[in-house]
Amino acid sequence: MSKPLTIAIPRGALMIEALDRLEATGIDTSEVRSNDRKLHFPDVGIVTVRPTDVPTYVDCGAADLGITGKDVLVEQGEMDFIELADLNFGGCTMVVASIAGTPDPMEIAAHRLGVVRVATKYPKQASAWFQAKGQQVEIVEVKGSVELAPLTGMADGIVDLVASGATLRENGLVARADIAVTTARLIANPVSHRLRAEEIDLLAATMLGA
Amino acid sequence: MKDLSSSRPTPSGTRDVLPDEMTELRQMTRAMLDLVLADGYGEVRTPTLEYERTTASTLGPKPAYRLIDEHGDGLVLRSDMTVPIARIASSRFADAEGPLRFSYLAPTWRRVKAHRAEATEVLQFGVELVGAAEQDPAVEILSLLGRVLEAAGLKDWRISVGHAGISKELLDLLSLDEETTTACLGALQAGNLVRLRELLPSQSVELLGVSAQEALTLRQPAASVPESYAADGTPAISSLLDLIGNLPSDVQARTIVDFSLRPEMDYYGGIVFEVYDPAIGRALGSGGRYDSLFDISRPGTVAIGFGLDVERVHEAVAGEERGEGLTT
Repeated sequence: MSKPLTIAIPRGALMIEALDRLEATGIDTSEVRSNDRKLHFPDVGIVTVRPTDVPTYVDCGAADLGITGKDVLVEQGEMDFIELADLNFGGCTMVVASIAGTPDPMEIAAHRLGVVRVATKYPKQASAWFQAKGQQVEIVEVKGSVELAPLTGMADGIVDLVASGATLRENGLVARADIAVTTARLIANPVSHRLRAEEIDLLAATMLGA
Repeated sequence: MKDLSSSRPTPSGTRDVLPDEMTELRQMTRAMLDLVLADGYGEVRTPTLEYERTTASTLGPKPAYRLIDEHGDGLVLRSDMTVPIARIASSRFADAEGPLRFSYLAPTWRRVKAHRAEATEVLQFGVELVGAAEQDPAVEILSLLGRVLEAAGLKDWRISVGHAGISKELLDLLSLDEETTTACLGALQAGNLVRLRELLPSQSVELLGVSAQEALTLRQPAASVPESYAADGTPAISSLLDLIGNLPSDVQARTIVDFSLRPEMDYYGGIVFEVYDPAIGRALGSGGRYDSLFDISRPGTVAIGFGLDVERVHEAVAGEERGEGLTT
């Protein structure tokens, strides 16, 4: 009998739904749900990590599989993993936003200063979107509370992930454009994807509800 | 006096090997080298530096370091050994008859992605078989690879074997437009199976009796591949399954038939393979047919070889000893 597949689960917004999906494949997730501080559950093959660390654990082979948002995968383009399945939950939209009102402060900056300053946790996706538009952009990378950047004058706009848009509204910001819709993805280590092909294909199919 | 204990004593991606590790590495590589030498694979040494135009035109792995010599010519620290050995076979042995067999144990320097715990300087061990009769030189190479892995001390090794032509031939059976076919190949290369699923017409389209998605990403132990695939499949699939059928049974038992395997280097065409061990999350080495390197110098030459990352093999041996392998 071989040991169970190791799956990296993202702590935070996607965690409960991710555990529900695993539960549906027959994995007992009760201990993970009941113990908030413990990170490693070798008996059921689960490790809980920060969403942005999921690709790292999978790339290095510390986990055979991982669940995290598409936004994280795009941002960590240097990692090696197989993107197995779109799990179709945790849907969010990557948007460009700025302080509400007309004209858009980003337009003013573009016209008068030639460059838009944008604060984001997603520098790769932000610069790719502005570059595709032919707009010069200066990216200010922040780790959290991006909404504060335009309010303090640090940036003309932001690129961030929104679920309902409530946080934007609370801070007087408005979405100006949608960049992409992102959902939770199941990823696999390329070596595990071959050595444990049958188990992984079966688990992916069950999680997709096929 | 200079302070030699400063915080960054070696260039990034390189490291010192100290006596304890070196003893184990030396023992392991000696066993591997002795084995291939006994099979007639003569060891060669090539210059650490190669002209950039020699490597750039053949699309090997990206070099980590470039420099300029006193004549203003661009040089690189070699990024693999296959291209230099192809150069030797084309120049020093241009008129030689019959198969040439070479082996090497040498450091190479490749560009790595940042923060991925990867080394720039990679000690490689490998063999190259150039000019063999078409009669499946892959059987000789894969059998030898299996014995080399055993000699290194690995117990749970596996070889995943594919063919560079399979994806394209399977996609052609679907009669998609050219743009979609190219996009599908790109998605396969990138390992983006979500994108592949979106691009393929619908789940109801079948190849080899399974969904197109399953056929394109088929990975199965050699023993469980249906015999009908050889007849119903494409020329590349038939040639892959012929090879698998001709492997000695102990190697065949460790072989995974892998339709999704895409060649890492552009010079590979035909049979390609990768070496894995369950104790390590990354491939230990790879290889395949690279006839195209001889298209100009020795047209029609059959060339095949494998290269192993010696330190990863060592890491896998240590991992197996710690019980991280398969529990068989």
